[in-house]
Amino acid sequence: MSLWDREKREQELDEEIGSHLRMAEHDRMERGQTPDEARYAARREMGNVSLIKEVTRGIWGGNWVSTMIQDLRYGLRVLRRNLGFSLIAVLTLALGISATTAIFSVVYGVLLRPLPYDKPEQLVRVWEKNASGKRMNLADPNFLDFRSRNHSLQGMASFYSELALVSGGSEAKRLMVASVSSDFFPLMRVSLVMGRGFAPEDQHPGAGPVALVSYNYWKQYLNSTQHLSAVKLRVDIHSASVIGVVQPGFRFPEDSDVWIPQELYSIVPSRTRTTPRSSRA
Amino acid sequence: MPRNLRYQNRIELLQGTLDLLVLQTLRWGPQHGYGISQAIRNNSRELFQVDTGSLYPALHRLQKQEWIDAEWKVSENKQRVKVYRLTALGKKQLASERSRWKQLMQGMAGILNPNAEESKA
Repeated sequence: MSLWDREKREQELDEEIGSHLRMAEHDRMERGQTPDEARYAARREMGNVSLIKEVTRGIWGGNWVSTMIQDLRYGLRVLRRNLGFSLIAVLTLALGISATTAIFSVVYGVLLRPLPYDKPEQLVRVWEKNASGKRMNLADPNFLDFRSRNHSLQGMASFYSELALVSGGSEAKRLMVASVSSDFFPLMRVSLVMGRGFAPEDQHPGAGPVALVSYNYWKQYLNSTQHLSAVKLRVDIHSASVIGVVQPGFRFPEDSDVWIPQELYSIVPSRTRTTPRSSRA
Repeated sequence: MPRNLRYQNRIELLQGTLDLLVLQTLRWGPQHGYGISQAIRNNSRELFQVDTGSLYPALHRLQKQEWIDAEWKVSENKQRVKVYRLTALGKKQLASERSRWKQLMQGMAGILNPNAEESKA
């Protein structure tokens, strides 16, 4: 039964019950009742007209669409009638939903979101301890010894990060810049969105200086350019050509946006000593 | 919808008999809802007062079952009225309901008046 058919039937039911009432009135008036008496008595005998109609409509059977529309209309009418109550209900819902959403996004960010590395449970960080038990970064020669005699870990890489002025993009910014050893990216199993990772040749002192940038930096300051070769970055006093863009979300260590081969910084002797080391099991 | 339920319960209580009463009334010719209710009332010597709240749902149900048919006509008072008519299927239904009702009456009579049955036997 289409909605249109139903409307027609609805009208016919109105008419049918209307004619019943008129006939009952007419009979009563013929029996000598006044028009007012007759109308009142006929209506009382008929009972609740809208209920009769509702039950009869129920007999026609399941047009659940129009039933639902009726229910919706009824709901809206009730809401409109109790405006204060409706407002409070809506506000309560809004507050409840937004609080839940806010809490969930915090919980997701802090507890649930997976780390942006492959197999994060296999990553460890190696420190040295000094005589007083304080943690300190590995000295370079120690790191080299560890790495060459390592049997327990798949590999070891070192990293160091600090704030540096980075220019060459759409605007100059002070950003975290990480200098990493040659096996850093393979160990972290980070993939690139475009371009290439560091090659062994990039790691030698005196090689043409190169850099990788974060996905965010590429989007925000390099306008998502497809021509990386055209981009020349200046990191403090060094210049470097961008060779690749790291997968979205990866900004280790310490929210870095630019990575350069460690050997580039090794030109500056004072910095090599303080390089912290990362290792991978 | 408790009030609604009450109405539907009443229909169910009357359903068997009301269907029979309506079909039987229509055997004398096409009739509109008000006419049917008046006829049942008069023929039962005012014993049965058909509740309008049961009558119209019943009429529409019988129509859905194709035991009765409906068409719009103009009455003597120049009013448009919906007139119901017994169909061939409805006549069959009436016959079977009558025989069922007869059986029911016999059964009831046997239970209410066992001695009468025994004396016959």
